[in-house]
Amino acid sequence: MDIRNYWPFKKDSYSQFELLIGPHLNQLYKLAYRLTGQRDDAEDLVQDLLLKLFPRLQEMQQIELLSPWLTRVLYRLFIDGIRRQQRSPIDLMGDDEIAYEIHASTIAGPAEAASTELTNELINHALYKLSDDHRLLLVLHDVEGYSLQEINDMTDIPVGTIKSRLCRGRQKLREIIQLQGT
Amino acid sequence: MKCEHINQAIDDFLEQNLNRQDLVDFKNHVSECQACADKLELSRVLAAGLRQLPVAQPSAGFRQRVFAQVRSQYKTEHRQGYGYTRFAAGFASALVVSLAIWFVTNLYVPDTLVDQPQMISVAMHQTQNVRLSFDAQRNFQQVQLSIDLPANIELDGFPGQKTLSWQTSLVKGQNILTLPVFATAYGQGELQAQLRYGDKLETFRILLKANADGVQHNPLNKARSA
Repeated sequence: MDIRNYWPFKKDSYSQFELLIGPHLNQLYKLAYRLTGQRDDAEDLVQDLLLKLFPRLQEMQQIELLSPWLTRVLYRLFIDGIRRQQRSPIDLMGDDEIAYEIHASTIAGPAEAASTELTNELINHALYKLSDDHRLLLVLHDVEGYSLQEINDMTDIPVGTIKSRLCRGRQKLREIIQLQGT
Repeated sequence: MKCEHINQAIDDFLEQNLNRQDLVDFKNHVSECQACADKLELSRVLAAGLRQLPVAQPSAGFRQRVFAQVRSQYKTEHRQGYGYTRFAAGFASALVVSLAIWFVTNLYVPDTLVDQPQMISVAMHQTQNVRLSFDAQRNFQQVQLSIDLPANIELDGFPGQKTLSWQTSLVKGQNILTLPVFATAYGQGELQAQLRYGDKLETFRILLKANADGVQHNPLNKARSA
């Protein structure tokens, strides 16, 4: 007599979850690192994300393109964290505000700055002097290479606003770099 | 082109979004304006630097750690919610009960039909294996097997899921399906197993009664216990 075990879920929900999320983990960590700028913070962010996602396993199993969905949830989680930390909502949809006042008189000449060796440390330092609004868009677009439309899908910020903020963010970044070069 | 428009123009130039006329204007301007030419050069260098910013590798064991934490947290929550913390011990000592259900379709000679749902007692807050036995008269491919659980019963590892369904095959003879059931509340309810093969559908029901000790007194089950 043939006897077979017909319980197909040798891998339980936890294992299914790992199989589903595992292929995206490096990408999620990388994005988390770009958003937080710190390894420990990035790891914590990904951990928080996974803890929130596990109860949604069945929902995730129905999602055709999981990667953009995951990056969107990660981004939202990060923004929620910033809001909690600041105890006041950051304005992601409002007018561009320049958070750092740079006085023209203190800025080195463009030629001097251009000749400055732009080390990773220098760029990173400058990035984290930007306002969150500008920095997040710069790391998503200029560092990670997400398209404007992908960023729009992730953040719900209109494409036109993304473009103008990127422009302002780059301008501010150049100014900070020039200032640091003095 | 004027200097005050150079920032957006530089972005558009670097992303190759300038139309032919704007490109001519842009090139003419930066060839004549040293300040804007320097700004363009800095923008080029900065854009290249941003694309090459390294990512610190996660700490050793990161992958294992995050998934272990998920398992740990939800396992703990699942058990703590029912005031049960010694999961491992409970699983090891789980009472194994079995139930024989005969798989019959109109195409095959009936053996035994289950007219009334059989009852199995399960102990609260302990994972117990309930084994369902399907006796097939021949091999079957592409059989849809569905399990519907009563409100007070879960399957271990599948918190909150009341229905599971999957494709399987049956071999001629006895086919065993082991369900790791977990009672979350007192009371009884009906576990339903459905086998669909083509346009044939067989539904089997058993009553699961959750009580304190899981002692069962049903003679039918006793006769068929493994």
